[in-house]
Amino acid sequence: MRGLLHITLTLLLVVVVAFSNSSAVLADGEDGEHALEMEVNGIHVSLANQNEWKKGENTIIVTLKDSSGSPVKNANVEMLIGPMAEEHAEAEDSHGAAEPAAHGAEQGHSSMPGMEMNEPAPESQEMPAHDEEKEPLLLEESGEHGIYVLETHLESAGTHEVNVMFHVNGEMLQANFVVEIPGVLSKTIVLWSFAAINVVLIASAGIMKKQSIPVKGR
Amino acid sequence: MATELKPQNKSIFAGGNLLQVKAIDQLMRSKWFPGIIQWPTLLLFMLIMFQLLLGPESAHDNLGTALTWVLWWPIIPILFLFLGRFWCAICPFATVNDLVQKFVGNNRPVPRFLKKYGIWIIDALFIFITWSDHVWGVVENPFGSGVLMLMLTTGVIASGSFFERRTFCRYVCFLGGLSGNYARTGMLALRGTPEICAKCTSASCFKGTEKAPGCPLFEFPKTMTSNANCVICADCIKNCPNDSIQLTVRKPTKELWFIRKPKIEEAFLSAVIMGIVFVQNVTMLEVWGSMLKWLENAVGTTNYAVTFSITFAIAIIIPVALLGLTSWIAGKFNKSSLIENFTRFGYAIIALDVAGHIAHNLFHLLAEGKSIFYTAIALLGQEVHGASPALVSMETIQFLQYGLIALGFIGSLYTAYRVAKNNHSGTLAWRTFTPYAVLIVVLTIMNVYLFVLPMAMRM
Repeated sequence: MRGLLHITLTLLLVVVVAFSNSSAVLADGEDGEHALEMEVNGIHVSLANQNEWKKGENTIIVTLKDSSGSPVKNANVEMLIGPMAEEHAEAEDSHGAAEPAAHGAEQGHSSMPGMEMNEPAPESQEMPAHDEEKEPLLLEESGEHGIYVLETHLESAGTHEVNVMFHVNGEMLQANFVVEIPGVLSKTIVLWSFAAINVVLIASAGIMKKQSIPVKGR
Repeated sequence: MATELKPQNKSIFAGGNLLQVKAIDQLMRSKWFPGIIQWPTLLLFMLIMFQLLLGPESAHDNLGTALTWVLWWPIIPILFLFLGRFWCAICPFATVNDLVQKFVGNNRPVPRFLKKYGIWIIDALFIFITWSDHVWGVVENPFGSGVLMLMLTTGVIASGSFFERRTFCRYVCFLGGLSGNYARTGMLALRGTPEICAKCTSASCFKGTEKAPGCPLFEFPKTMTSNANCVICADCIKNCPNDSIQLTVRKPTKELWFIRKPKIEEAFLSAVIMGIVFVQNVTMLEVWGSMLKWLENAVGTTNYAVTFSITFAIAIIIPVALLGLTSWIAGKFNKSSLIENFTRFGYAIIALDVAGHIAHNLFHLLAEGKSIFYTAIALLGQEVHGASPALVSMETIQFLQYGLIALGFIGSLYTAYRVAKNNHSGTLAWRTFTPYAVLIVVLTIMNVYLFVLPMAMRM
């Protein structure tokens, strides 16, 4: 009896923990260190995560190199990151397939997630996106030139748009990436897990009832 | 013979037995009661679950979210005030518990640790669920709300499968703990008639008969002094061979004036609820964003779990600490220990808790009430765009909120006065009462201030 209770409670706990911190359970196999890359006006931009992309704390690394492969220094790199509107997410290829943004801030801003107030992002309802800034976040230039780092907290999972803005020779350039933040367990898995636990509970109780005399009836 | 001893013919408004009213008596004794309300509630619950788990992902469009958080959650403390814990009699989770128990229940005794630490477990669960709602966005996320319901369902299935009666409702359910405290302010009281019960040896009300099961929440009307664990399911009314059970209307908060065996965990819960109402209000204020920014700068992290946990802890600690401080000051006069005073007078805050809770939820009910209709007709393919979800103006809502807080203030103040008078005499009673009066004034001002500031909506 006690053992059975322990098993069912453990199963329940697994579901609860999995749901609350589901990134650990249903990562989509994406190698977090694998960089997304693109060229913007001859500048090679790569976007990577120190670990895996996940809901919660992330250390994001941007590397800038010019056409000759030399690191781009003092580029004043900023980043906007936020959940992507559903129709945009469907239209985009999933990883790093976004086109390089046109030069100049005005055109680049038109697709920024923070500006799309009328189009709720698919995951934005899931969690309050307290830390997914509508204002650009400044990246710190690390010791190695051309490498810029940002530690940030992502509140929600799902498709996110990452806009990297940087300055080269007084001109502002922008690279737009799309990343998939794994995290939400499939509804089906959650529902089936609960169903399974409850079936186990009821079945065990039924078996135990047949094997023993009840103490007190209601 | 037995009925002659009952206070018949006394007006029901003067504490007379409601069962004198034939219609009420027939309803309570009917085999269809409370099933006639229980089963439709279960069906509605199933619709809500379907919507939450498989319906629209946006809370704004989800009927399950609207019915749960805009209708049910705001109404429930009002029900506690007027009908005590009657909700628990018709609660769909309890129905699931009973169903499972009927078919596969093993009816084992309640584990000892639950009996001993049940209310502390409820306190902890209530704090955890409120915290997790904010950190994981349960209310804003229909599926998250659905998972919360599934967890509760699993809890009652486990309880109904293995343990007797409604173990989960009595010892684990966080809402049960809240409702237990709130039901003490409630206007319905169920008791046995002492003169009749004194001669009774059958204890049918507790054990059950062929007419109905025994008390689902392990209460024994013969010795009951509180409605905290009475769900007014009427099983005892059906079972009593002597017609001893009385259902009476009483003054709101009256039970709080005469708590015979006050418990620190219940007093603690009343202070915690005050803190939770504070935090619910604070996080819905439009200034919350700026407060959060300030906190992020102060603690050096943008991690919401961290910043909210700090806010949450502060909000809960404030009323607990204030009650503790007040109890310490009162102890200087009445020579009782801090714990004794804390335990006795903690109950006085419950009236203000209920008022603050209803006032907070009134905003959701009245400012977002039409969203229930909009989301319901959306199921039929009728979209409503741009229409206000408000049932009444903000001015009306604020007026009602202040009125409720005023009533809660009076209720708490008078309860503190009665508790002081019941435990001390003469000037000592007044000296004991005065610090608590100051505390209640402070808590009232804090509540009023939070309702003055503009709030954000849930839907």
